[in-house]
Amino acid sequence: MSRAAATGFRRLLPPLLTLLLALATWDLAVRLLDLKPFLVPGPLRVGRAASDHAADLSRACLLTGGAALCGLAMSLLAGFAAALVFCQARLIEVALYPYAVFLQTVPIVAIAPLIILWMGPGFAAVVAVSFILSLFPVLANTTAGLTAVSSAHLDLFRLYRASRWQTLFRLRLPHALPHLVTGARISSGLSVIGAVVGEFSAGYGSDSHGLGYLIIFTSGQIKTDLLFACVLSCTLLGWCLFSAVSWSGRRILAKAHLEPV
Amino acid sequence: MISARGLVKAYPTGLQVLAGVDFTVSSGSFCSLVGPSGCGKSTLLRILAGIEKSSGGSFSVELADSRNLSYVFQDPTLLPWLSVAANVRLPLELRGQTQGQARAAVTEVLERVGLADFSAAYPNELSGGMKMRASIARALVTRPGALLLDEPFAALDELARARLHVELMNLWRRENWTALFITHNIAEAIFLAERVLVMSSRPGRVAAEFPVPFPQPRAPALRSSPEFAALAGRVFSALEATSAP
Ligand SMILES: Nc1ncnc2c1ncn2[C@@H]1O[C@H](COP(=O)(O)OP(=O)(O)OP(=O)(O)O)[C@@H](O)[C@H]1O
Ligand SMILES: [Mg+2]
Repeated sequence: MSRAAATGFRRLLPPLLTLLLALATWDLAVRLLDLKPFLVPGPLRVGRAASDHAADLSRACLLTGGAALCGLAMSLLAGFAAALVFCQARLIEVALYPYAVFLQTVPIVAIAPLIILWMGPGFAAVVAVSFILSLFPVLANTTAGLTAVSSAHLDLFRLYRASRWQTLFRLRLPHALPHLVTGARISSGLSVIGAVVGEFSAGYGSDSHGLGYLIIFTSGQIKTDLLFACVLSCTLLGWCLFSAVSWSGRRILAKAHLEPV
Repeated sequence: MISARGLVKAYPTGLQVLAGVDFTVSSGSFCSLVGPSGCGKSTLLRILAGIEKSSGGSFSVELADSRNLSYVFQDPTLLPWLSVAANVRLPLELRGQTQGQARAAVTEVLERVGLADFSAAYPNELSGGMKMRASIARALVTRPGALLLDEPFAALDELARARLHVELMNLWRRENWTALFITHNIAEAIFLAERVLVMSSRPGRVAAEFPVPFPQPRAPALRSSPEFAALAGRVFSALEATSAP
């Protein structure tokens, strides 16, 4: 085994052991407490349900993942753009920021049907819900990064009579990049939740279903083992997106010689 | 020439920081300023540099040949995402020079401060003394007519500090900018300067002034001479007298 593989293995071993231990405890609890499968199915049953519906599940994952990815991308663009506007004029920030907080506090489950009513069911509506839920962390973190530059660095730029644009491009933007990455990491998980919540109310059409639809459908039919498989798929999807964003964020920051926040 | 007449500063908080500061630093001379902590030394430099507004009085910074005023901050304030060369180049780029136009000046100034081998390094790969050198290089790259230095060596150990003293003196004798150097360290103030100003505690004024008679270039051994110790003693007494509660 090469050294890189050996360290990778040593890094992976503890979380893998945790997983095995959790699965074993779960299985043991179901057997010992004699839980009914329609209440709490054991891991083997859930695994079987997942493999029986592998095609459905993977198609749903792709759809939900695609919607989440689109929502996240829109959040990144819009959040970044709005933060740029906020940092240019204190007045705009003070006037608008309190309402941006609404994005965070609005009960998305209640709003989602409304959005679908307006936009009609389909991919765009699901993306919109995902976008709304994942926008705020990007916006808030990037705004903080753009405005919270150190006064010593601002003095330096003032000393050399730097223009507003020079200060933005050479000081504020590089300083905000690690904050943007942090925002994107938080938003990545939220974008998946947003997509699933969107799918609760809006399907994509007759025979393409996202994870959200499958969850509603299987819980209505008391197919608890498949429901568990769907929920685990959602979690896994969010985890994958989070890891991908974290990994690319780390790469970008390392390339730019920036410390993560 | 850098001069101030009756310079007054009160912060919006109501804090009176400067109460009529008077001094003149003639062109090409090196002047040190010592004073108790919080007496307004940094505030004074910030006003002279145009970063802060005064509340009264006047000051002037006269520079020959449209040269600029540079400022070495208390912290190195390097941008962590830029290499040493890019940090040093920043003032030139802010003036609209391209990387190519600035290259010769950056290479030369890095050589002078002894960082030629580290031009591609990043600030987090430098020691405290090297960061300070980079910061000084950044201040010198525009060929300033005057240099304000705010306790630049405060965070360094004795040895690094003594080395940088010699290097700073060499740079000054070569380029002959007008220098106003703030420090807490009386020995440092005397060793570097032709004149030492003593500031009173807040609200600050210039309370005393000492010419430094030792000829240039000065050897490190000067610090242990009796004349040096006597002058340091007098500066210390003046400082003590002004900051008595
Ligand atoms: N922006 C500000 N607003 C209000 N008060 C300030 C501000 N900046 C500095 N002060 C106050 O002004 C006084 C002088 O500050 P200044 O930094 O000029 O002191 P200093 O002589 O440089 O001190 P030190 O030797 O510790 O660096 C301090 O009491 C400080 O609290
Ligand atoms: Mg100070």
